Amino acid sequence: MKPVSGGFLRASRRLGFLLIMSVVLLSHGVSQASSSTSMMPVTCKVMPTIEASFPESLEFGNVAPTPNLDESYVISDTKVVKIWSNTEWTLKMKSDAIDGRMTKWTGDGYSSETLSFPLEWQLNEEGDFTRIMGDDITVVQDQLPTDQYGTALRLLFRQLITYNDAPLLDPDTFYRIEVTFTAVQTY
Amino acid sequence: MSEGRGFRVLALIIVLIGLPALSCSARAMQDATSHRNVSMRVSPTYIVAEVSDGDFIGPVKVSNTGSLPLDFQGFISEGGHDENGVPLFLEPMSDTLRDGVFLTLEPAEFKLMPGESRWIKVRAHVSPAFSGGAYPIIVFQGKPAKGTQSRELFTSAQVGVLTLITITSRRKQDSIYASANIESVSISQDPVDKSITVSAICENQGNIHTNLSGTAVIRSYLGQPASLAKLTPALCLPGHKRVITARFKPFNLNRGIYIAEVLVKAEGNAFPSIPVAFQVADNGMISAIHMDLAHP
Repeated sequence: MKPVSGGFLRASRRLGFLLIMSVVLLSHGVSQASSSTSMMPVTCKVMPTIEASFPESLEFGNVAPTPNLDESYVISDTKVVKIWSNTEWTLKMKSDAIDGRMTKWTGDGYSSETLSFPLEWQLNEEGDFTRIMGDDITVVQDQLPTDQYGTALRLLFRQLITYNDAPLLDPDTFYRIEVTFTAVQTY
Repeated sequence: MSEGRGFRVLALIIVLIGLPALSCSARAMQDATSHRNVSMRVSPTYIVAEVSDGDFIGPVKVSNTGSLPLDFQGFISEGGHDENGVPLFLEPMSDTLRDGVFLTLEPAEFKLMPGESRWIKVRAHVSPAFSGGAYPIIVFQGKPAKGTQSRELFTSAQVGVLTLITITSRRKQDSIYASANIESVSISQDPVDKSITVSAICENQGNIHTNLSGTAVIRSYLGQPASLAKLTPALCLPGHKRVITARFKPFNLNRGIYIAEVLVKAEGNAFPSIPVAFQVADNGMISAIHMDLAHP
């Protein structure tokens, strides 16, 4: 057996040292790679939002006057307005008739004939009935943000019919009014 | 015996078939009564922006959340508020630069089927000479689509979008400023818990909106502070008035004369107050208020 030369031993040591260093550096790199953290910020911005649900229409149907005024009111079923909002909100209401009186509708438009008394409304069966008008009336104001179930407002409408109100014989004509509800955030 | 059993089986089959049909019709009836609503969702309903001519703000997402097809129309109203901050729809804005700023909607008219949504772009048009604040309200009106409108009394639904728009002029001499003038101060007392509320009516005499805040203080006639409370912050548009209030927690005031003052701040500037003197009786209740200290 030939004795191992000194040069071979030195070369082997160097190779061994290099291998050990490579392993150390590689493992350090791997461990660094596995322990490095990267941050992913997740953000969102909730927008002020209002959702509103209003009754589509109201029909009083065929109505007739009586000599007794108290019995001449025709009162609607309860109409529910529902609001969902994540900010403070206000609800307004107005009619397309300045004086709040239902006007004869011919199918193409309004004529000049109106009922004698204006349409009236009442909120949550509390307080007096109030006449509706062409200018915005505040139904409720400064309402707090709602929860996911929303806030329901119960509205009653009533109309006084008198003998001064002209009957409409043409089946295509009727007395009509348009009510506009506006939900808006408070400043 | 077997006939009787057959009859029972037949009756059971009829009941089993009939029940779902009955429940379906009941549900249909419920749907018919509860879903004839005009429902819409608008987001955002409040836009704060600094704009130049031609800039877009928003956009605003309008959704039909009901079961009826809806025709939508968007229009712009000149905004304002009452003393409680409730928006006022002053005038429909014309498409002119008379007021320095107007907004256009793209599109301004559209139809949404149930469940549909649409993003509406809002473009600002600004007069070159204008600087300050502009406060148009964007209104989206939804009506049952043509052909589905009922008779007699039908409703249209509107949701307003408030805007606070700031326009900075390139000309340096056009300053933007807010100035809060305290018009009056008043005091009220809860008869039950004796807590005191101090209110001030402030007017913004500047040309841009401002957040009013500050404190109210009650001091004895000799000048010793008795209590201090923060005013509830409130936004005030230029040319408008706003009530801001401070509610003092119930505390015992001895008989004597006191002075209430409010220190209103707007954008870091403090504005002079109007002191109000009031007299407290033995029972802790306010017995007299002197609003004008110059003429007691």
